[in-house]
Amino acid sequence: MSDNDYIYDKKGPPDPDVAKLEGLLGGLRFDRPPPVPRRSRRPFFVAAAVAMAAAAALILWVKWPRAADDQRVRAGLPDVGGGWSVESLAGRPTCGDAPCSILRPGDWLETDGEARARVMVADIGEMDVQPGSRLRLVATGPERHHLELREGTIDAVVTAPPRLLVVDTPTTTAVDLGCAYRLTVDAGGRTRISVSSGFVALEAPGRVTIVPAGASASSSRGSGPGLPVFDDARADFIAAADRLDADPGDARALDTVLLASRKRDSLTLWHLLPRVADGQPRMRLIDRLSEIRRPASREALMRLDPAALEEYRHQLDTPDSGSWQDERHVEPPNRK
Amino acid sequence: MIVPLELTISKEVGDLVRAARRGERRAFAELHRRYSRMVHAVLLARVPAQSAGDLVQDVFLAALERLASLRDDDAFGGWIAQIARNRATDHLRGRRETVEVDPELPSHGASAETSLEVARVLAVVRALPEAYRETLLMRLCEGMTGDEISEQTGLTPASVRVNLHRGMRLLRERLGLSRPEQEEEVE
Repeated sequence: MSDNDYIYDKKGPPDPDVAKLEGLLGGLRFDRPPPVPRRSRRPFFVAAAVAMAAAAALILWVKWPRAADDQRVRAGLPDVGGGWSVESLAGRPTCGDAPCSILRPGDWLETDGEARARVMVADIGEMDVQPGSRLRLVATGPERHHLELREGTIDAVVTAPPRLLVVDTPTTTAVDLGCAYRLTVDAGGRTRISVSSGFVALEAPGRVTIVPAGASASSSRGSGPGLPVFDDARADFIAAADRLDADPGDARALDTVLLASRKRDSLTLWHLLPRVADGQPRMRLIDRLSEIRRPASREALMRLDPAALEEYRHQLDTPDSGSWQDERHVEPPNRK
Repeated sequence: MIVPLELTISKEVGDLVRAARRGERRAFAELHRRYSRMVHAVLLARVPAQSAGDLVQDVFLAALERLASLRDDDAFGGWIAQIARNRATDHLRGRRETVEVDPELPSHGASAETSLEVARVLAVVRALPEAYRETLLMRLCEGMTGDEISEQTGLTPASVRVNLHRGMRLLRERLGLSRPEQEEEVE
């Protein structure tokens, strides 16, 4: 991903598409002086000043302040010196042994069985930390915000360009792609994510799981990010997907997944392609996926060609193939 | 004694609104200077370009007449944006049932090819969700930065950022520009 945010603040190398559209639409920019107000019961200042000119001898001239001179205040964020604001929602969230009101890089935020906290994630969102959690701010900066969730549950609502927020857990890294989600780590380090808006990517070396809104995925020690499954899938499909997470060679689980899958469950089936064995198991997956959307090349999918897989993912994630994307638009918090 | 005017015009929108309500023309002019681009973008998201410019002026005049009804002076931006949306709706309802010939064509300067491309882009933008199309026009047409959009509309910078990024993603797809996933290459 390009790290510049030209679309937002016009800084950095221009995005070619944005620059092209600016060139096209900029010709329509509004540039007219203010209209002359209709006569009202209150005399305008100018008229009054003219009437008073002889007595006051006060001369005014107009010099419009340039827009660049205006001070723009970041809405709603107090200056906390590089840390993130923490609000106690219940009990006594702590950093070290002290009540926590600011989370700074390197700090651990801990909540006991009763405490809950709300963390303002820089200027891109907020995160509720549930009871029984341990959360560390690893680093924060304009290009990336990095957290570690050792244990517990966080509910995050983030409105930011993709990859600006990442959360490490014992078994995976959750990469925010602009969304709202719940991330839970149990005492054994098993991670579960449920996404309610947008997308999250779970990443570990050699494996990526894309989790869209309405879906969940788990990650365990030794197996990395698991399969994403829509929460409204059939119960037998969900159970079979869980078994395939633990053992991709489970033939009966594969049978169930193939039989119980809806069009939209192509999300799970696509992620299964590189996880099942070559040959008959993968061929059966492609057969089922082909019923949903015919791929450009079955052979390319069989050999897990990266470009073919990526192209096919986009073809599956379209409305006529049972879109993976949540069509709802969730308004992010709009408080100043 | 000469008094530089910028020292006497408050930069706070609430003060400008109160001054305009008292009849101070320069305060009204300053409100127009600050918010006219935003209002124009809101209108352009709905009505032909040739109508949008005139409607900006109508909106400000209507706002001036209704200033007494504005409860929160600091919320002027969001308030006038809604007046603009309502005005656009009224305008579209009141149009005669004849086809406007090339209503998007600028009156001077642009080639026919450019004008057609502008019309095509505008049509696609207008088909986007409301939150995206207004914000995109504020940025791409009016040249406002994200911070300026936030300041004038009342949206948080985070909301503006989401609208711009997601709106731009949809715009790329529908205009057949570069693929949105090019923004998400693994580092």
